[in-house]
Amino acid sequence: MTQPDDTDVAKLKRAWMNEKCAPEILQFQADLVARVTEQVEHQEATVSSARAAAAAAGGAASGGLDDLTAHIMHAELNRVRFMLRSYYRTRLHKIEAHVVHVVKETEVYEKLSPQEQEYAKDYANLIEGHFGSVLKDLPDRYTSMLQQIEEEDGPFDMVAEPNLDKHVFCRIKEDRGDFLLDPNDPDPANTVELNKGDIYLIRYRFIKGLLEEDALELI
Amino acid sequence: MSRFGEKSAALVRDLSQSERGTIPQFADETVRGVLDECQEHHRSILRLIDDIKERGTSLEAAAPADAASILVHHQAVLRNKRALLVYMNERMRRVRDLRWEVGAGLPDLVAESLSHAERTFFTEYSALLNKYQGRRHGVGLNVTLDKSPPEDHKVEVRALEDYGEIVTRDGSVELTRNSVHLMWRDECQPLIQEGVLEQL
Amino acid sequence: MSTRSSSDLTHQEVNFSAEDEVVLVVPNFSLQQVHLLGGTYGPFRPQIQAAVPLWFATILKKQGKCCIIPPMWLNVNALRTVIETERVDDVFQGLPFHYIELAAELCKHARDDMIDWSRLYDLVDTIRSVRHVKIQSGLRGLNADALKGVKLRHLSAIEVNVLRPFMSSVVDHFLNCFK
Repeated sequence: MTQPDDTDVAKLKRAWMNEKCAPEILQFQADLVARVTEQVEHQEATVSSARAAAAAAGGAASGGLDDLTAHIMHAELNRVRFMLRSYYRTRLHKIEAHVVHVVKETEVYEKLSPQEQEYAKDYANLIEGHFGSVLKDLPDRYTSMLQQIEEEDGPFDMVAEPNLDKHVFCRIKEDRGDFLLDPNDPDPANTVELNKGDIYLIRYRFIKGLLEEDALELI
Repeated sequence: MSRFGEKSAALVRDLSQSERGTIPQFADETVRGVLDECQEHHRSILRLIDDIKERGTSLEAAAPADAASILVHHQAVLRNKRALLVYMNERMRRVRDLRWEVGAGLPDLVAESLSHAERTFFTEYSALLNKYQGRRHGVGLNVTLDKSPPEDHKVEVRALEDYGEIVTRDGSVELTRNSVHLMWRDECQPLIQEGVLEQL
Repeated sequence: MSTRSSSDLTHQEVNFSAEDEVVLVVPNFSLQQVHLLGGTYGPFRPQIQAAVPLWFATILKKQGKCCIIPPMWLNVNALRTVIETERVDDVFQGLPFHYIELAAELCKHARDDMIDWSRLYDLVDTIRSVRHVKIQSGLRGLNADALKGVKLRHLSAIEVNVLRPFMSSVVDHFLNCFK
């Protein structure tokens, strides 16, 4: 038995867990985060006005909320704020870890919130300046932060990217029958049967699509 | 020239042997030494190329010994560059963590160990995070708080300074230096981080 | 110094997650419905069972406002049966995803609501170690098929988190060998 899973708080929990366990940055849950933030602010106001009313009444319960209810609401708010902060933090951490990749790849950049996009751009400039303070004194053509040796049209061989081949633990949320792991390799031997409730340790790349479809969750 | 890559290896080794979370003195002299070494390798490369050209040979047709010499110097620069970046990156990571641990003020003791560029980095990184957290342009939430999940219990704390009155869930509390209080963990956490309270 | 450099899930976070599991309580007070962001609970009436999340139940319990009814699976006979089958069967027995955290939390805060809590605690611990041994021998049997995914039905949250640092990097390395 768990709490109802269709509330925004439950959805935030899932988004937080998925973000924590995925090697790459996932789509920012803008609407969900906005709704939860609003609910938190609303509930905070409810709790603090009840407390203020109680204090004014000399500690007696009033304002329609008793002490116990206020305490429980407060405890829940702490839980939700923790998840929200940890969600933001995990994302910033990923942005910092692969900042050049995040800024350069449009499809990754678009997964960020506007605030994160700002953060990523500014952070990329910041570290370029910081590494540049030493790299500038290297010989010509060795001063780039992106390439070992500068070559026009050469690959950026010093840019860190998330490892999509990392193995992750996931739980299947809906029956998918025989699932083809790698669309580029349609050998029937390369399928795996996915049933609701199954837990797998599996290459992230294989299940990235299923995660986006919400057919599984990372654990 | 000392042995190739010796200085840069020492940079990385010393840092990796330092205690996690501490930031040793920035090794300015060694970093300079590595950079000079790179310039010297580069001059050797240019000299070798000039010699080959003087003999009227194209680079592609250079004698294997000459080509190998160029390659060795080139690889030595790349290796030094890698080591420099490892050194800077790991230090930068620790400076960054500091912002999350102690807040926007850089402790004097730490500041002394940092290079000028690192101090600038801290200041700018701090501003970057402040902007992200801000009400106006950011998410409106201090994301450095609540690093571990909330626990609903009280802890004993001591005030480290005369801070004045604060309002808590249980009423108002007067924080005077060395006064001891029993407070809800979530309410005292920000003050512990600011250094106003210490947990007993 | 920093807990931030690693974005891995901590054991505390797994525990936190488990605190959303719903348990039954018997309150000794009256209270109207409590409207939380994660759901509505109550109304509460003395001696009438109510379902609340574990973190909620713990608050009530600490204030002496309720008894917590241990879940069905958390009793001596049920756990003994699990241990016996767990020992002979290849697959993991179906236990709640958060069985370890639930048992630990209840044995900590609600021991007076349980019959023989220390025995229960030991039995859960035994299950945990029997399963751990099974996981270990399962690891020995891994082959190239592991690269298509390793199915671990009924593995629990803590078990996942304990295995994660080791097992995912082993299979990562394994994959690199085949590349």
